[in-house]
Amino acid sequence: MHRRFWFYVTSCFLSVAVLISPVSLSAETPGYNLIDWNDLMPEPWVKEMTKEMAAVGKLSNLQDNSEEANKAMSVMRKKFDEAPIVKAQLNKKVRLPGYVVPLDAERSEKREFLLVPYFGACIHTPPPPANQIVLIRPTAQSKIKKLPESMDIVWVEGEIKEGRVSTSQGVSGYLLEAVSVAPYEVKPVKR
Amino acid sequence: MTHALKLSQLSHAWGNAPPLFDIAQLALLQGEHLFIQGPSGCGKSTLLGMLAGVIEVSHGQLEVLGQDMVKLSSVGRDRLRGEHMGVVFQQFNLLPYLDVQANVLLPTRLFPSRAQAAAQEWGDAQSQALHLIQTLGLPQSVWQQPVHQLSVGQQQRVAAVRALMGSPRLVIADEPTSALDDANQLEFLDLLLGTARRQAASVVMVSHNPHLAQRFDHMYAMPLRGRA
Amino acid sequence: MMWLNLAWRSAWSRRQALAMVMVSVSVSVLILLGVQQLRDDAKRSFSNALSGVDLIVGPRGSATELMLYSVFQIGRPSRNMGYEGYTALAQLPQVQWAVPIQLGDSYMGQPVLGSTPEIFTRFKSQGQGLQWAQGRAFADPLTKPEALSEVVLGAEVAKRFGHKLNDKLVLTHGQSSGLGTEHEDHPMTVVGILAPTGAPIDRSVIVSLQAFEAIHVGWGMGISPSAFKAAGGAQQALDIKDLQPSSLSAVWVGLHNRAEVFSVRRKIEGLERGQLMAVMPGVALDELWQIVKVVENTLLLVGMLVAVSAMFSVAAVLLVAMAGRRKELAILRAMGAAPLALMGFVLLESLLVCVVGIVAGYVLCQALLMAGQGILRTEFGVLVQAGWPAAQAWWALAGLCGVALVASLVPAWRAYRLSLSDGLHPPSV
Repeated sequence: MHRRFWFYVTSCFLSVAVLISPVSLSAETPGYNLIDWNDLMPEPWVKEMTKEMAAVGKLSNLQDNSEEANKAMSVMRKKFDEAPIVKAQLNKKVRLPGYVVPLDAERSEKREFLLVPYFGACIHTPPPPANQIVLIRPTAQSKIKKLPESMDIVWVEGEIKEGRVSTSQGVSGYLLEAVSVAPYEVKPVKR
Repeated sequence: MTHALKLSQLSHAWGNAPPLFDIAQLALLQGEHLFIQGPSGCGKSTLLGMLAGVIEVSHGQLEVLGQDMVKLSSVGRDRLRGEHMGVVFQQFNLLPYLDVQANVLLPTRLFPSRAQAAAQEWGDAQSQALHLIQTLGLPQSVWQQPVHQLSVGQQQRVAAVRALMGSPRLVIADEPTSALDDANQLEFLDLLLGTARRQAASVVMVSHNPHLAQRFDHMYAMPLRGRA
Repeated sequence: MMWLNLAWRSAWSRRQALAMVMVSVSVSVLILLGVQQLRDDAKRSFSNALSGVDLIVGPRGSATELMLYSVFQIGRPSRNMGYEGYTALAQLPQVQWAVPIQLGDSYMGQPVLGSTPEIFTRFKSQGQGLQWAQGRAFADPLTKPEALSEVVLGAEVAKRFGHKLNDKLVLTHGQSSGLGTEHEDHPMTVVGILAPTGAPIDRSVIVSLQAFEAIHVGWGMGISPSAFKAAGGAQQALDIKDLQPSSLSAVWVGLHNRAEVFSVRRKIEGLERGQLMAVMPGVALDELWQIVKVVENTLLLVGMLVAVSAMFSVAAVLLVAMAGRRKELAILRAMGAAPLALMGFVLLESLLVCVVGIVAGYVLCQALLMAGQGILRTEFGVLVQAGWPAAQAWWALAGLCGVALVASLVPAWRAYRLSLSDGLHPPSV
């Protein structure tokens, strides 16, 4: 079970690498600036979490499935769930690529979805921290090129706002009212 | 006086075979009838095909209804035939899935100028058709009948009517009487030739039976294969 | 026009042979269009089934099965989850609302759904809540014991069986009505009829959880005197609290913040010693569609291939007939028709038969769909919409006409070659 932890870490980096390296072909709306998933995590929090993850990782390697390791994992998880947001990013017009996790059974262009940085963020892998999940809300004016389906990769453009989750650490989560949602086309990188 | 047809040094050979026929000179004035006699295999079908413009002339000169058949394109030849000629075969002249009316009017529908020619003299094509039917000794009731209900003799007469629709200047007949019994042969021939003459059309007929030649103005005997 | 008339008459003279191959064209077009239309209608009907639910919780097992029976009411639950699971998850701070669902009974073949009155305020389809055509929701039996005999009908059920407010119903145990399994001792009263939604809930009969339990248990109710009947043997007036359900089929969950769905999911799956499964309906439905898409594409491919082969059959019939039509071509040739014109004539004839077949197939498809409309709606919850084919179907039809054209070129080309070489004197006859 703790192996999955490292799987999360590596897949996170790999997926983000997929999203960053190739050049996307879809049209860009002027005024919306490309941001990185890393921009959504506060630096001091990242530093703290990296240290903690290393500690938990060491523990799980030595005593897999022990009570101590499990407890450390669940503490880690709680911190992820309450991950703080980067206030500086709020109300900015951004352009962000990510994987789609649909929220409604209803398959229409109005349906809300979560945008996450890596593939398979719901079935078998641990979910990302709360500051790596963006709730995307299409409006009547959104330009949606193709109905976003589970696990599609898309470009989303809109203004980032804060979500409404209150935790012991304060407000968590991001919300984005989408101006446009377009499929992400991966061009093979020429060597 | 114009010529219905005029040819010289006309010969035809299939591939490298010796020539099927080689005719030094032949001419027919407009309005006169020509009988071409010859046994089967002497190339009379090929000659008819050339006159009708279906087969290309490779050697010699041929002028039909004033048109140089050597220079005329295949489209031009089809058009000449469609507008100014009529054809009667030995048998099975009519399309089985059309009734008599549709069969007879077909040339006028394919070529509007033919319909116009009929209309000029008769008001409309149908009127000429009905007149011709009467002239050729058929009852008016035949107009609506399906083809399979007619006897061979009746079918041949309907074919003659169709060939004469819209005042063609040349009627080509390939053994038109050979499928009829003796009594009807002469009667049919007289009706065909007489009606054509009244329309100032020339009839060129091919047959193996020389006794029919007396009704014609001219006769030409096709030489046997290879002989000049 | 004259050529068209000729082509039509020529085809008509060959109608026996051509009719048979034309039927095969029609049937293949029927399949092609029918599959596409059914798929579109099914997708639309299914995707309108349920919105606003963030998680569907059920016993550990197949996520697809859970989706199918709890949302679409297709199939039956093979296992149940414990009632304690519901109370536990409802207490999680992130959970805004939780509606318990019990399935398993039926009324005249329509599924019976047991739930709390909250279902009527929480259920949404296409973003719209439930509207009442007549009456009201059943009351909560915990506060008003008379509510035990109250039932609410979906629009489709009411219409199909002609029910009005205050009608009496008898529910059956299990999926269909059989002898001796009817709860005749507990007739229910219709207190509300829902307005149509286009979602599977239209086909449902909805009662309170306690009523569902009471029916199952089969004891006399003694609460509402009119419903109470001596059933022989020991009967006791039950305290309503004894009718607390012990198990449920599923729970619909709504969160305060949808973005927390991942962590809530993990929490729920950690409850009850891991006996629970929480499914994200959007994800599960998309995955279901991805599987369905494979089936559907296969069906379409097969339909396409059948249509193509049918069209070539038409051409083959005409090609074979060409040998016997040489005299006919010579006749037309004698009347001044060029070989190209004759090619066009035969092409037209073949195309004509194909196009008539395609149109007949379309008409047949629409007729069958209209005829089956009722059954499709009541048994499968699929709303069939009449009308012109969708854009994709037009493309398919255009493609078929293109194939017909290509196939028709074969006999047409033969006609061209024959008329060119035969001239006025075809062999034979």
